[in-house]
Amino acid sequence: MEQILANGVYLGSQYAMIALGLTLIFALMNVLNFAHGQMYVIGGFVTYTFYGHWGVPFVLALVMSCVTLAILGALIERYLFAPVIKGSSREESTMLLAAGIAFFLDAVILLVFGEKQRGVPKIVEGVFNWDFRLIMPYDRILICLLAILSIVAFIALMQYTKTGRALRALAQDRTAAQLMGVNVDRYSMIGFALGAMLAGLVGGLLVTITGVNLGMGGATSIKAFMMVMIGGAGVISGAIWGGIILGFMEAIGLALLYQYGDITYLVIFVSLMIFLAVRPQGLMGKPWG
Amino acid sequence: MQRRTLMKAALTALTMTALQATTALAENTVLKIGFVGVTSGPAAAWGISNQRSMEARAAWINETGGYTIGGTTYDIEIVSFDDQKDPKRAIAGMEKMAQEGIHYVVGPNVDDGAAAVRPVAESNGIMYFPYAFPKSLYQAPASNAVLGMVANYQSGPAIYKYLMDEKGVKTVAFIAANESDPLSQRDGGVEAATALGMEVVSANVTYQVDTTDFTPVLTPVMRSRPDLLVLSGVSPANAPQLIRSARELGFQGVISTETAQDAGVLAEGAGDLANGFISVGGASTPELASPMMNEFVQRYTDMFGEYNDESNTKVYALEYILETLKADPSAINDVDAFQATMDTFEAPNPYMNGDAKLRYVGMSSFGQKRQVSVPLVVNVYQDGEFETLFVAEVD
Amino acid sequence: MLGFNSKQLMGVGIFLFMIFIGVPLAIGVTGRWDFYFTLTSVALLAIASAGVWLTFYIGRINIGQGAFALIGAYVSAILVVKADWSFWISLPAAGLFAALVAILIGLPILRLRGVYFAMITLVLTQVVTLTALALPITNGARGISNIPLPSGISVFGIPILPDFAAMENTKLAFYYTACIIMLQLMRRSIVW
Repeated sequence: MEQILANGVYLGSQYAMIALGLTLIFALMNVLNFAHGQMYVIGGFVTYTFYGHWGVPFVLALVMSCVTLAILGALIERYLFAPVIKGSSREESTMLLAAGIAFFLDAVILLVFGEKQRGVPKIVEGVFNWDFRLIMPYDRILICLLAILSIVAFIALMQYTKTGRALRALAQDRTAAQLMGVNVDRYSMIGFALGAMLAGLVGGLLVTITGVNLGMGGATSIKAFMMVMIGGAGVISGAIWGGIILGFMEAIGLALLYQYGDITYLVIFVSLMIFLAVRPQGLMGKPWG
Repeated sequence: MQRRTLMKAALTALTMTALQATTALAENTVLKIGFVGVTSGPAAAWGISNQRSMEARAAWINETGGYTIGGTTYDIEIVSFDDQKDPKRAIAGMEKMAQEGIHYVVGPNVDDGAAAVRPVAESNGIMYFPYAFPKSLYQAPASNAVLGMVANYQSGPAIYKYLMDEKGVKTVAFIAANESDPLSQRDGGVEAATALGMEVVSANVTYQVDTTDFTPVLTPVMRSRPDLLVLSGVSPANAPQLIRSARELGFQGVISTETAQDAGVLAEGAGDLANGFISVGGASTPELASPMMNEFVQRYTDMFGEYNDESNTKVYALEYILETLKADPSAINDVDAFQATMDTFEAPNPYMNGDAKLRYVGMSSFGQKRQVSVPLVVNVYQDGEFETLFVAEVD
Repeated sequence: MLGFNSKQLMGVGIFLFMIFIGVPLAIGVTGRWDFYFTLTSVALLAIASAGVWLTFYIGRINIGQGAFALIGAYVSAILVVKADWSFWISLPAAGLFAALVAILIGLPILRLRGVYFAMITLVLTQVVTLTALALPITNGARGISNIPLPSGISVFGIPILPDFAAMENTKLAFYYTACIIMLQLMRRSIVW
């Protein structure tokens, strides 16, 4: 029982981080970043290259992941999303653009990083073993703590800094923010870069536990969307709740439902569909018209 | 100015073509051998080891003057097609081979691909050499497929028996991906283990193919406390993660599989935690390897920068095709002649020391000779490399 | 004739000529049989995309068309393999079944709009895939293979549609079938 709860906690914290980046981008630009999973994979590969391949210290490799993804995110926003948002009349165009970027990044990842599964040496050895009732390797605990730390830092950034205030204003009401003197173009770019950076950071953290290969992008994107939808699109606390809920559902489901066949994810998805049909704005989302 | 450069370019092109034509006349006839398999994605290692083995061997043959079949010397050209582990693509690849007039194709690497291409091969007169295990592919009335390696229902019993005798293993648990190949291998494994008298404590836990984190999936399996954990049909990309999660959950028993693995990927993903992991290795060991085998490994490594243990098995497919054609040159365009020759074919095995033979086997598993005979080598992973545990032969 | 000018009619005529006569000729001459596979896929995808376009017309973005394609494929395969129906009957049956599923799912979710609707259709794709993996009738992960070719249809002994199994090259037959269905769709949308 304790093992299941522990699994839920660490899965939840990882997922919450992924969901945060996605929900930020959605809040700012009303577009669901289909390429979020691919950004996560790029983050993982960059950390692998620096830490696993070239032997750079782990924290530095993480920083490199963040920087790469931030630059990538900023470029995508500035040169791809901004013109489309300005120039197109239907909101679906941005969704199609995001989907196109996802495919494009998939191909780029294959070309740059290759098709092999990559892993890195464990950053901390040893396993915490409480009487065989609760078993958690130390590196997972460390990653879980780092994830929670990043979430806290992110929330602090949004609450207390000028950039955070500008982003929140932009998310609440774009026109009003503009009237208030917020440079909409600049902060859209910063916001997207920040969202991408979060994805990259999670990728870098998780490559130490699960490794990375280019097939992971699509599946991660879908899970990220689900979390954002459960919690409420565009709301920070919603994303965190969504991540935690999904983490627990997965942990409990996999441990208990296996005797009926491989139906855990089916149950999760169907419950989600029913939940969304009943309450489309998620747990914390703003009810819309 | 532009016209001048254009003229120059045209003249150069013309001379090059003329040169090509004259040199082409001096070259050997080309014999095309095909390959359809998975060379991208998580299971890429399976197909890439095929393709590279064939290309390395073909380059070696062509460099030393070509391969003589029935009085004509041929240069071997390998025509490859990546089916991305998708049966629809495998069909398209096989049809492309048919179009190019190729009668001998190595691959596909997985169950559903091999089953899907069967009608295409049969209607176009193609012999194909898959690395998939379902018996229906090789039992009558099927006749165009030749199994290129040892099947799990042949290696499984050998491994389980060894573990029962040497390590006192009594209870076994199976875990498989929710996919055709791994599920059949799991069912075959359960059958073999039960027949040997082992107790199967868990055999219905499966994981989604795109799972990245195996700890939640393994938690219920670990609770059943088996002596042996079998990763049925595990792909080389997932094996290190499964091993790592199992060990981190406190599992002390033996972990094994009946598929081929990649030592480099294991070292990267699981490191020392993978020590003691048992898998089926390439069909060669330092004791068995002949000088020709060593030279092959050297040429392969020079050509591609790294070697894959699986290529020890995969090198045989091309050799069997060429040697059988040499024994019956009329089979180059006629697969019925090839099939007739298979029953009595025998040739020296160039890759093994001693007087081992190349011959077709499979009578006890399929009732007809539709499998190449390669040594069954069972490996154990230790400190970044595979060590031989034991060697056996298949009938 | 139908209110079109002669230029449009000519355009349609040329298109029909191209796909029914021109393409098979070109393929026969160059020997590139695998192009049939490509073009048949093109025609089939066009049919599926028409469905997405229809949803677009009513203001919703449907990312989950693959789910319905999967449902239709399984229904047709199961009917042909397990219930021994004729392909020409199982085909419309598959379409009807998918439509039924769409109605059932649409009832609760059509009141959503925009990105929320799109997300549910995305989840739908996953749900259908996982259901297909879990149900015994769909053979789980092993799938259904070795599906027999479509049989012929004859009325009072007069063959209307030939038996595919007796044909030497079924690719051309499948290509024509796909094109005819695609044209039926386009005809409907034009007459609209």
